[in-house]
Amino acid sequence: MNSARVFFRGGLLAYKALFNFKQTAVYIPTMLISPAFQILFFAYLGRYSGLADDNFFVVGNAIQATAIGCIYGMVLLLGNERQFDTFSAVIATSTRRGALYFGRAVLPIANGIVVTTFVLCTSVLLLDFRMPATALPAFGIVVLVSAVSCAMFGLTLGALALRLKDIWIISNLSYTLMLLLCGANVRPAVLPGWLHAISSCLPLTHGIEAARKVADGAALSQVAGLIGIEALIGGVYALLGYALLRLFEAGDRRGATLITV
Amino acid sequence: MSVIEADGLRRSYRTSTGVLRRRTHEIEAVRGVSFTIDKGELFGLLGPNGAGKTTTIKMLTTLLLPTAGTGRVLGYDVATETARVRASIGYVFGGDRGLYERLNALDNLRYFADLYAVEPRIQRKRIAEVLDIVGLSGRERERVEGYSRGMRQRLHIARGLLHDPPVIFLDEPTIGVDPVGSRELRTTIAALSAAGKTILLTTHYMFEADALCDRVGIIAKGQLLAQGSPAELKARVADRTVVEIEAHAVTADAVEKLRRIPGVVAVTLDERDDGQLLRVQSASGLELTQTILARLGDARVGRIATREPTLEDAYVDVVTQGTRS
Repeated sequence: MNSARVFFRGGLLAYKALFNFKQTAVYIPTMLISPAFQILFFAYLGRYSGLADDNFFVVGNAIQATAIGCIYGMVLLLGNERQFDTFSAVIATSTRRGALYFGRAVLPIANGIVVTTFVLCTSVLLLDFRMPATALPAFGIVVLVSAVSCAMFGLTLGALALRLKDIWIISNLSYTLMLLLCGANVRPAVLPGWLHAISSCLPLTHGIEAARKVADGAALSQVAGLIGIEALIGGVYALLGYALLRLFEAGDRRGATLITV
Repeated sequence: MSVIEADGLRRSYRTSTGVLRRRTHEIEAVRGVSFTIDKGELFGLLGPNGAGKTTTIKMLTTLLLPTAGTGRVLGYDVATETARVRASIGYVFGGDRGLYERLNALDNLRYFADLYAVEPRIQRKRIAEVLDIVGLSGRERERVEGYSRGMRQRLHIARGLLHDPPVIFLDEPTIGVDPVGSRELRTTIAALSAAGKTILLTTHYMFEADALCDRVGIIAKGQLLAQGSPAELKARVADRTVVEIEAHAVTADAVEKLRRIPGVVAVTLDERDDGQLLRVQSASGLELTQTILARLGDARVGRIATREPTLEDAYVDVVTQGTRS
């Protein structure tokens, strides 16, 4: 029961306390307008170059837009603990770490889904993006799994941000790399081998591929494999992120590497 | 049975310097500290900055592993039984950081009430109680970023009391707080002690330790140099007189000359915003004021007073002797 409170209410309070973009005046330009313009930019670039239609760029960038909520959210919700010197107080409690750390992903995941929904609606209004209504449930599942997977990647990055004392380099670099590598705008198959290999290990790559197929009319069962791989990648990052956090916490007791209070 | 036990606690850190030629240094922050604190006792750990007070408290609150020695709280080993220790203690940080600035006090306390597993059905009542104890009732819906330093410190204490722990660690709770705020905090600490809590308090304010503590330990350079009740420690210097001089431009050279005066036991010079405060301890019965003034050279001298020794003088004596040895 208490773990559920730490997971849900703790996650909400941590979001209120540590997420830098929650004020409306910051949230709207950063979380909504910026990804919407990103979609417009790539869609018009696609039209100009004749490489692909609007649907290709809209679906790819809409799924990729979950990263803005999930990666920045998780990095801020963990890394800012160190910036605000609050981490000592948190780890001085005996609360269950699973509920503590994974609960922080709830709001970033929800935020990622909100961003994706907003940019899809914007694309319907401003671009030639169309998707059959029957595809919406399956598309929703793909968005959810992708957001969860991306948030778990954010958990890993957040653990590193906590250790490296930096929240912006890690999040900015990861977001930009994902723009290139996840297939939102460039098909992974055309990337050099080593970049393709990295791409297949990142969250969203398989989610974007599944979302495109669903938007083209594929049934959920036809993309189940891709969704499964996306979920598996998220699971691996969840384990990695959690292991890093516990490792850093234990290392901090030995070497005072995290706490500053 | 002792509630808090430190037995030969040691803690060293490794630091590196240089870019191309990295050199690793080992710094011993705490060097074999031992003490015990009984149930309901308020024990003060006194020492200058960098003496090892915070490192000691961090080891006893499980945040740092001792390099050697053992620490126990309520019989639980701080190195291996961390969950049990953490559930039994409240750790109150000094300073004005370490709180969620963008949240109000109520949300800060709600969050930590969950982390400390305070039963949901009693959370609201308990939060109201701790706000009342620290005198923040009515201000709980204000964001912490608008709080004064004293209010933040009181919120730190409230957070440490949420789960009603029997043992409380207070790490320099009045540091940087104005005199009125400090007095209110001391009243709160005294009330906690009166309520039967076992408290370890670190401070470098002697009057605070004198007013609050049942016993104090003096720590310097990572070593516990003396411990006892404030009265016992003051008895060490009972046979002395202290000459206190407000001055300007007293040089280190002049201080050395004062130390060489026969009968002088200790000399300290504190730099203050409005000048310097020179304290000269000597064997009682000696009249040294004129000799001292003669050796101050070009220094400008203000108020001069002769008084009985205080805990601070005992502290100076202990630290001075400890540093020499």
